[in-house]
Amino acid sequence: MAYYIFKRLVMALVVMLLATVLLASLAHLIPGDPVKLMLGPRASEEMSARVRTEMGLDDPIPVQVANFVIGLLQGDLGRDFATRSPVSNMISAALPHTVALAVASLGMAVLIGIPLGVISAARPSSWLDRTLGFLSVSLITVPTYVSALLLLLLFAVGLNLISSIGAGDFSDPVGYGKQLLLPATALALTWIGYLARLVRTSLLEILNQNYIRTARAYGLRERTILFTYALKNALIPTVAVLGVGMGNLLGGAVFVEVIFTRPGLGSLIYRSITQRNYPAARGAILVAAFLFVLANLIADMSYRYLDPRIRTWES
Amino acid sequence: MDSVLQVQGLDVVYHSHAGPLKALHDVTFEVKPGEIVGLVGESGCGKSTVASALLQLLPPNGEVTAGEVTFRGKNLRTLDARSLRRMRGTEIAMIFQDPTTSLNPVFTVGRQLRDIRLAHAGSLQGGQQDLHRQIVEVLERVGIPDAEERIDQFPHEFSGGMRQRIMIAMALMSKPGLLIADEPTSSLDVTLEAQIIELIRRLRYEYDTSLLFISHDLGVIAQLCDRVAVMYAGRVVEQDDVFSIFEHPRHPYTQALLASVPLRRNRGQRLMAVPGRVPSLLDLPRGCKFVARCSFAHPVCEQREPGFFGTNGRGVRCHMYDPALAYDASFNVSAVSRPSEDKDHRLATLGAEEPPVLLEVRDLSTHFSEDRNLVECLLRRPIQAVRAVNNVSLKIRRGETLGLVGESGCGKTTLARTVLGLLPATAGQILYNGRDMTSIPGAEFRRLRSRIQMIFQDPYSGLSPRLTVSYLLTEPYIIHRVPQAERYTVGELLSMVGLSEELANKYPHELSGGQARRVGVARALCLHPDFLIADEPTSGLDVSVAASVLNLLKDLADRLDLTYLIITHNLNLVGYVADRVAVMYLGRIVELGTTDQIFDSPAHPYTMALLSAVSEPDPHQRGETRRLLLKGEIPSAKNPPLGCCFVSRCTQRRDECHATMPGLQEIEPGHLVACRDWEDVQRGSLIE
Repeated sequence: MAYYIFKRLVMALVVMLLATVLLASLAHLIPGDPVKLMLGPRASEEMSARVRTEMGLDDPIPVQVANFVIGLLQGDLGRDFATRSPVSNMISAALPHTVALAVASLGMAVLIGIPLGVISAARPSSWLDRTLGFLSVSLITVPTYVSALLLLLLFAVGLNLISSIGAGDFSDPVGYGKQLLLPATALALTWIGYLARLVRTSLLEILNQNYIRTARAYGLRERTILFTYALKNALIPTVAVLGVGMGNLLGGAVFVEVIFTRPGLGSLIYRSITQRNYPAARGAILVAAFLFVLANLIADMSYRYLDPRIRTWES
Repeated sequence: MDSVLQVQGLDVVYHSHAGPLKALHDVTFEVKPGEIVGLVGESGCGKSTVASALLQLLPPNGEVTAGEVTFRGKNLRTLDARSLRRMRGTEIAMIFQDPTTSLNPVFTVGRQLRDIRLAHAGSLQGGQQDLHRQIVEVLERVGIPDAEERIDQFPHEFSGGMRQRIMIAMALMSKPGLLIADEPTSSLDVTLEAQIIELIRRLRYEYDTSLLFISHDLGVIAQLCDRVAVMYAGRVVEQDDVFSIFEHPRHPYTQALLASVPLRRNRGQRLMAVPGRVPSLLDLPRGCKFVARCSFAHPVCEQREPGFFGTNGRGVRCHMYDPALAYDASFNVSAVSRPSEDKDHRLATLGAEEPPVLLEVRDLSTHFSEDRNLVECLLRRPIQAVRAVNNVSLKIRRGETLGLVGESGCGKTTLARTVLGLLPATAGQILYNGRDMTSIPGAEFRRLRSRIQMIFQDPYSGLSPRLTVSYLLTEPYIIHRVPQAERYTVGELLSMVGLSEELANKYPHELSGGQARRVGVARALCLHPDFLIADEPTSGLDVSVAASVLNLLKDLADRLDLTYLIITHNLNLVGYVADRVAVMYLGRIVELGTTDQIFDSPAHPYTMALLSAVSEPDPHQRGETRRLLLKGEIPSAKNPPLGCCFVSRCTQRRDECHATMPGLQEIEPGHLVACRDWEDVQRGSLIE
């Protein structure tokens, strides 16, 4: 197991390194001149040139990339073009809000989606199963930005139940939780539907397996069979999908954060890209990539926890 | 009431989109205390449905529509769900066919055994400690070594044979009155099959349980059962004690079934192949269900279904035995025209001139190296080679049939694939007509390669499901760019393998197993090959269908002058079909000789063990033939024992055996063996 973790960590590092290089180069592909944007259209050529040199933008691109990577290894993500404050400070301020959002919506998806899937699979083709199926597919098809806007309009604006603009403060957990409710739901809805369908399908397949027949033939209770013998097997593919789905979730987080004006990583990315603020954009995207790699690592680990067959193969 | 289980007039229907499938009709039999009753029949005859129906474990679309199931005086059909659940696994326990899929992969063996007990005992008497001890004990009794340590392992950490032992432990834990075993040995090798049969035989006494043993394998039934019920199309067509069934089968179907088993003693003869196929359950004939395939059918057989004539657990469902009709019932299928074609005349001519060697394999090795991922390459982790085929030398003469036998994992299929060029040879030569196929240029290889064809193991997976039979049979010509004039037409090919031309536009899934296998044979014949490799040619086929495929292979050999390499684990098949036999173990040939040499005077302990493990379809042979049980299972080719490859399982190993692998030595003309003590083996002085 230790060897496996080591192997995975090495691979994760390689992926991160490649992502970094790619990002650093990609930032230069965004159209527009950051210096022009920063100084405004009336800035003199001379002044622009000075700023450009100061920021290292005159260096050839490979040198800039190398500088970025070297800086990164020293914990330096560069400085924001506009405010000149370290990008790492901006990210550390934004990150907790995004993590809270991701964890809350993922938790919501798991806690609601999986039981819905089990309920459907327990009585396939019943009216309940059909209704849940219809609802799940509907949830999957609604894009996050649509559900976010609808939720905002309905609960915060129309019914005026909860204020959902901004993120609130961590010093007030209850208030923060309330603020989080709508954005997290908006982000979770697709996943609830998706998980419900996924769990239903894999559970139905598992319930047809020979070992379920064995469990029945040996008089195990239906409850034990469904929730223990079948579900643990059915969760294996679900976890794999969740790991990859993290990227999807982070993508959705951009919309949700912008719509609910949460000062998270998504908002930061959105803002920096619209302002051609390379250092901030690539720093933030890099952290998002890191989150994604981390989520996959965790998914892989839990996958191995759930499926002992993989454990033996690897060792 | 002296029977443990009594089944009376059981009817089962499966509701399907196409209409009701009458899976069982009027099934009546009983199991007496301590008795082993065999339920035998081909696939689709309803054997497994009987097993599921007893404990009401039918799939949701299945329904018991009539009949009684009485277990120790209790009517199981009227029992409520709760009491029924309580009986499952405690009073009636089941063992299933495939232990690999029948155990839950994500829970430890101990946990699965524990959960069964917990499901039945509201609170544990004696506590966890006591239960743990009981589980270890039952695992030890079914022959799991180191049960105490292995209890916390997962099913995949056990070998196939061990998994089946765990299933048996599961069944015996509660000392059930009745054990239902549904094809418990069908997915196991011969040697493991023999081990499991012995185990069941022993445990029946130790646990004082009765057994309902379901199998399609007449050999296993003959070895184990006291009484036998033969099933056909959802009916019990004959029931009797095991000796009567095998010696004086009365129903035409039973007779045909027994006559279709390939055995060494009917070498050279055509096998009895039951014509036609089992009728569809959707559209059963009005009269006797066997009428269309019966050689003795009378008009009455078409008109009404025969009753069951007989009493006390013996009888026949056939009009011939109806006392009211008074037919002459002294018929026997095997007496009906079975032209004893003389294969030996072919052999005789072979012996006279010693035909040329068609294929020679010289010191061939095929090793697989494990895939390493990026990190492992960077860390320079050593590659572990799996020596699937190790230094094998073989000669096959034109017109000959060589049987290659061995347990699964011994490298038989790898050898075949290497000969075909589907796998690269690590070392050695493959000479076809004297040309070394491993070193010739591509164009010549392609030309030679078309002379050697393979019939693949699974009848269906060798045929692309998206292509029609007609295209499948033309494809080889397209690949090899064969001019139109040299091609067989699809019709010719189909008629060569005994299929009608109507099948040309069908897709593989529309074919029966036997038909698909025949299409596979036809595809191999397209390019006018001289040499055919058949990998388990009868696997996945019912006895009667397998017989007709074997007959076909034999006819083709005579007509087209073919040479065969037949790969199988079925020794009865080899004894029937092969001229010479090669016995393979862990990638090496350990013995090679004519079929008579191998069967009559085996010289390698492994061959001896294999032969002793064969389940002969003859109840008289049980107990008589001393069962030299091969202990344990074949070691992994990744990690073979040092010295002789067989040393870890040999009963008469000496110190030298741990040091080096003995080479093949010729002990009589044409009989080669790789064992130092072959003389002791032949003398029969094997240490038990």
